Amino acid sequence: MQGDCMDVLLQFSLNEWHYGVSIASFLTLVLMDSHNHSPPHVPEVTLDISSASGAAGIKACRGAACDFSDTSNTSKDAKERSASMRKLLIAVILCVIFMAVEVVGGIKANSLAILTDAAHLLSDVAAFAISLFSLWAAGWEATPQQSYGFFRIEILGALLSIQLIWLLAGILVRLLNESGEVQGSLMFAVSAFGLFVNIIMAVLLGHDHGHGGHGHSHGHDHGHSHDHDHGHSEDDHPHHEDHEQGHVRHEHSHGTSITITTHEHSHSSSGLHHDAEEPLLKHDGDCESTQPGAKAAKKANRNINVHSAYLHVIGDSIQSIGVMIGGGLIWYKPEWKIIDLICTLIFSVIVLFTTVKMIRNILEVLMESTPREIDATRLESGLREMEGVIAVHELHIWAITVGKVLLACHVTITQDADADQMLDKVIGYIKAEYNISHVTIQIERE
Amino acid sequence: MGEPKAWNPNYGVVGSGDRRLAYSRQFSLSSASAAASSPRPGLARSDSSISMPVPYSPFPLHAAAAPANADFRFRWLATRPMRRLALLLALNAAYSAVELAVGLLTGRVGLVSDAFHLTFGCGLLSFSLFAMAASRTKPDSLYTYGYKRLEVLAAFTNALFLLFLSFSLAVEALHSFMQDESEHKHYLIVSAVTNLFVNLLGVWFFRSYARVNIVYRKAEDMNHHSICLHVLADSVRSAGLILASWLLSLGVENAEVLCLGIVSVAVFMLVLPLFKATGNILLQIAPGNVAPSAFIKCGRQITAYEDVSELSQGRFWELVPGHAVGCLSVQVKNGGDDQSVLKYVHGLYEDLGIQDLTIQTEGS
Repeated sequence: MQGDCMDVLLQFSLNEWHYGVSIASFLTLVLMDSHNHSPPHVPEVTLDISSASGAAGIKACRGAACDFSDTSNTSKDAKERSASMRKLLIAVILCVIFMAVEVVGGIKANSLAILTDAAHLLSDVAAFAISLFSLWAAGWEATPQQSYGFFRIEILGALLSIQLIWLLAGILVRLLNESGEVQGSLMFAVSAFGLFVNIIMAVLLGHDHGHGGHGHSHGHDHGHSHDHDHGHSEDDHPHHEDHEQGHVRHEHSHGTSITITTHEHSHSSSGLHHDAEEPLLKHDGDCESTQPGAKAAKKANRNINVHSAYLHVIGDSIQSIGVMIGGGLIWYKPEWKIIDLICTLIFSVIVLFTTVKMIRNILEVLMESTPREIDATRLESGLREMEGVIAVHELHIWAITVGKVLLACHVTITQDADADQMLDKVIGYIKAEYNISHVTIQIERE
Repeated sequence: MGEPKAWNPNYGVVGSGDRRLAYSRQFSLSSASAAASSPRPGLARSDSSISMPVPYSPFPLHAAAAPANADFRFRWLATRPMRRLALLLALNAAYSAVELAVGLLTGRVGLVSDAFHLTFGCGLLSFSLFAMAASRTKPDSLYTYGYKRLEVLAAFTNALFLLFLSFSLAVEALHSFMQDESEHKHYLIVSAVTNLFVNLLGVWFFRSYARVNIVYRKAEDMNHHSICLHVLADSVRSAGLILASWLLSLGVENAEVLCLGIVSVAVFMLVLPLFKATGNILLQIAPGNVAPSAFIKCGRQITAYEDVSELSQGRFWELVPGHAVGCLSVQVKNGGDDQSVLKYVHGLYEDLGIQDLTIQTEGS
């Protein structure tokens, strides 16, 4: 039995831990290549850039420090990033402590189930490690080879995290296929403890600065920060799951923290989509009453890596709930073993659904598509209606990472228009209306 | 045709007899026609008549995407690689279905888990096929650069899967090292042999990509390469399993550990260059086929042009291998003619092979 336990623990943990951490370190390998590439011509190039951005009247990258060419340490970006890293670090430490507790308990009690759960916590640590690494790497300075900086690493790291979630959902099904007899009471107890740990992580990771009791605003942000302009219909299902989980969580875990109680409190009307959505909008409005309309959606954006770690933890809690339900049922009636498998399958599918939205966002960024919050046709027609503009060609809007958008287009103007003035107008319009500051416009005459 | 080729992006390697960049005969037709159609500018820097670069047809940003989607169905089997991949997929799917059925009926868990593993690999290959089919769609207002990136994404996913395969094989090797059990399941040999044959067929289909380091010229190169590596790795894994059980039957101890370990290392070394290359493209690294010194040289030439006071923020990235995009910002002197500057800079970068360029000219 001892050998079996260690065996499962080793196999499970090595699989995920190795996958996660090693791929993170090989990403480093990959990128250290381009990052440390310091060819002799670097001084020449940077001289151009620094002198350019110092000169007055340069219209490219107006405003505050250009995010791409120089990352000053006091920029808002770096602050947000270090705050997120701190959160993740605390989560990792907590996870490791819990895992140690479970491993010791499992070895002492000689129980396979507890050790399996400990291995599952190890997978959480792997996910956090990936997110931490992505956050850290995204802050590297741009090099001539990587002229846009390393912000894309966030996206790739999030992709890795999501793949890890899928893998785990799949592996769990496989493991359960092969496991022998199940003890209902033990399953219930172990998964309850796992759920408790996961909820603490979720609270920690989801806790926005300054929004004390609004634990639920994250669920809101998660769904709405990108689709603010596109209505909420498509967010209903993952949200519904979130509400459901909130209810179930409250029943099973007896008020672990303030956030959960307010969560339950504001959604006491069970499950109606629209009822649930009104308080959400009010919360968001209350919290961000200082920010004007569309900008509020951007402000409430959570860092994508913290969000993917959060999703990982949510997925774990969902699976714990599934195991608890299965364990409870088996405890109640030990001959319903097949329920266990069915439960696991159902909850794995639910976990997969929670990741769908994030995968869609990631894929859209990687495909260099127009970000959802910007209406390309409206922008193009707005440009065309400006005085002096004849046509707009080759409009490309794409995002480096979720918050940073770039635009490039060719604008044909009339023969007698002043190119500089037109350039100013166009750039000003785009910045004012759509808040895109990295703009490159090629002015052509008819 | 006696112009000195002073600035050949290929550095004169193609056609010099260097076989590393040669394509096999069957693929050379398509690549030759592609090369003929894409403009290969001769050195035109001393050309006195500067012609305005032909602008791309203005993207019909309001165009309906209907035509592309309408015959989406029929384009799954459009090109020969796609047909071959579809055949591979069909074979794999049929085989894993049979394996799953047999495993469930006879209650052998090993067969069932092998079937699941095969299905997972099938899923990945079908994503590659989907990428091949979808990448022909014309660009629309949402995906202004088109759908070619899907091929790079599919290649990246395949590379990730192969990395995971190598890790899990390493874990299995460790597992059998610690377990020290020498029971081998005979029924798995049959499945390993069949798997080996199907995968070898796949390697034969994509044999021109059966190399570790490939120069990627087009988007599909990455996708095809990843598919080839995928089937190659799978066949190496099956071969390793067969070898291990043969050695075990011969009485060699720790045969499983050895074979699995070797296979794991082999798969890892196979996939690392592909992973790096696709990862770099997704990270928007500067175009690989242009040397950094070329960019510096262009920069210097632009700054030396008479109407230009300075050049700032030249950023270049690759959408897919072979399609580079750039953004530049140029300061024009007072009273200078910005249109001629535009033409000049466009010409310069066209020589390097970069055609999608947006240049912002600012009068000072």
